[in-house]
Amino acid sequence: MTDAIFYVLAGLILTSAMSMVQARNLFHAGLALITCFLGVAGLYVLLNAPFIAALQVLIYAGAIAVILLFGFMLTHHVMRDESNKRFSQQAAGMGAAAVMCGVLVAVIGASPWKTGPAPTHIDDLNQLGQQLLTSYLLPFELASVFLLAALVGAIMIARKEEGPPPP
Amino acid sequence: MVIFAQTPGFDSWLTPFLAPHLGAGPAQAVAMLLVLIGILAFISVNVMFLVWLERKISARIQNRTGPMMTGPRSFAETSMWFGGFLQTPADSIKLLFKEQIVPAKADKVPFYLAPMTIFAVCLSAHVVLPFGPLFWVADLNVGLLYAVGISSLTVLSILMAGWASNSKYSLLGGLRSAAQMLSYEIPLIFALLAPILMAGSLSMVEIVKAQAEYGVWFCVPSLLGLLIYFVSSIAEVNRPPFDIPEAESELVAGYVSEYSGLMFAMFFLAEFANMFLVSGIAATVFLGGWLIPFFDAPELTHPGLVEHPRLWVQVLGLLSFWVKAYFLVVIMMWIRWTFPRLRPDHLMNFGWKFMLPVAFLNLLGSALAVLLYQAYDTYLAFWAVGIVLVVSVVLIMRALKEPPPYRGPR
Repeated sequence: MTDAIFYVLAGLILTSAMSMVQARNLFHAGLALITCFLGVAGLYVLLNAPFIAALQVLIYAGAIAVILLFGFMLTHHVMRDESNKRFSQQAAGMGAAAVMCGVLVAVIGASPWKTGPAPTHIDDLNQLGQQLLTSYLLPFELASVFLLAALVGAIMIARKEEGPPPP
Repeated sequence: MVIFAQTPGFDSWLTPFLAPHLGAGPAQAVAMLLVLIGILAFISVNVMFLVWLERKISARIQNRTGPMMTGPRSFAETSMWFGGFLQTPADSIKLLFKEQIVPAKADKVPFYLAPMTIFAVCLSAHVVLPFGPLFWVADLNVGLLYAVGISSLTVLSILMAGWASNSKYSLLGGLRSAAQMLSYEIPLIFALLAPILMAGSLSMVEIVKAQAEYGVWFCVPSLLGLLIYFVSSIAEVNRPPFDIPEAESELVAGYVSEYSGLMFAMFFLAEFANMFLVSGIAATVFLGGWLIPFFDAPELTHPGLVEHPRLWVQVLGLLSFWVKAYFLVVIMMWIRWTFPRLRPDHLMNFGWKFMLPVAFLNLLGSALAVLLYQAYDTYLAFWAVGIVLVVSVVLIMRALKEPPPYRGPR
């Protein structure tokens, strides 16, 4: 049962990722990207990580991808199917992807995968919170300070220059 | 595979009846499927009732004749509640028989997908809603987060509809809607964080149990949270006074301009179902779900652990949830037919500069309430914090209120 669901999800993720790269239309590419995100959320559910799955849906599919689509809709010529991809670019991209794939397959095949017993508890949320505020406090705080800096920077860039008041 | 349900829900009622015929594994799967079909049927019937209710309320408030009179004359003369009961069947039949028109230059695939996904999202979010003690499809340990996350995909369907219609009204409506929903999702989530913090769990059932344990509903310490959640959720479901995305006078009908017939009906259905969903979440999280004031029963406080649950207590719990959810729905309709539409810049200012800071204050107050409860072990801690919060926000608002513009000597 789990295997069958995994293969369905993996097929969904791969096909949507391929169609995202191949789409000639930016909006369609965005929709395929969201399908891909949702498939990954399904994988998290299979891995007994419902919290990560819910966050994947909320943040990636619900917020980031929507802001991406929002950006596409504000650009010019979005209604037209045009893309500046040429055959030479496609060939180069495929070559790079093939090399990457080869490296990944080699590494995954060579490394020993240690498997522990499957977690018996399903209430992992409290543990996650405690770990974030004890063992991993420094990375957690660093990440939030970093995000805050990015936020302040974005506001500073987007802010209008304050000139003399209009007459 | 682990299903993340903590307390068994609806499907556990059906499985014993199906198991002798099908075997244990398939019986569970069939039971879940049956429950999902039941939820689908429930949403459709509930939406028909909500449409009727909205028409009645609008007719009472704005003195519209159609919803008061449609149907046999004798019915309308009997009571104000019977007049116009044929309005909803007339609406539904009209929508079913209308021609499906697809614009020639529309982007076909997203155009057809948008109404389907908006309804699918709405259906999936209903899965975690506890309608009463033991009346839920699944009690996920991330229930509330799941509901919020799935609902945030609604904006995707709206963007799809707006873009695929290939019309400038639809596109503008979709854009406005996306901006509004992204802005109001933030105060909404921060308002929901307060009860999560007090209950110490994301599961909807656990949040109700925590309210039973503390002896207060979470609307007491975080009344502000309830108000912020309610206002943001009106904005989330695009209802007036936050219906700028479908403002008739500027944008025809916004993102649904190019839809007709059954595909429009899907958007309509999803809007009403979402309205019930957000009211149900507010009733569960802030208003104690199926709990009843001054009435303690083990069936309500510890569902699933009672040996022989009494049926009438279960029904009372069910009724309690429905009364609370419908109370909020009726307030939403009342607001719709009484207030004018907001201006977009007012909308953004209100969301970011007022609701978000108040939501932060509310979250801090809730943390303080939990600390006080742990120190003094009395439910009065929640009342004290709630009253202090409301009074301080009212005082701050009075202090920050701008004087009215000078209009010259009287």
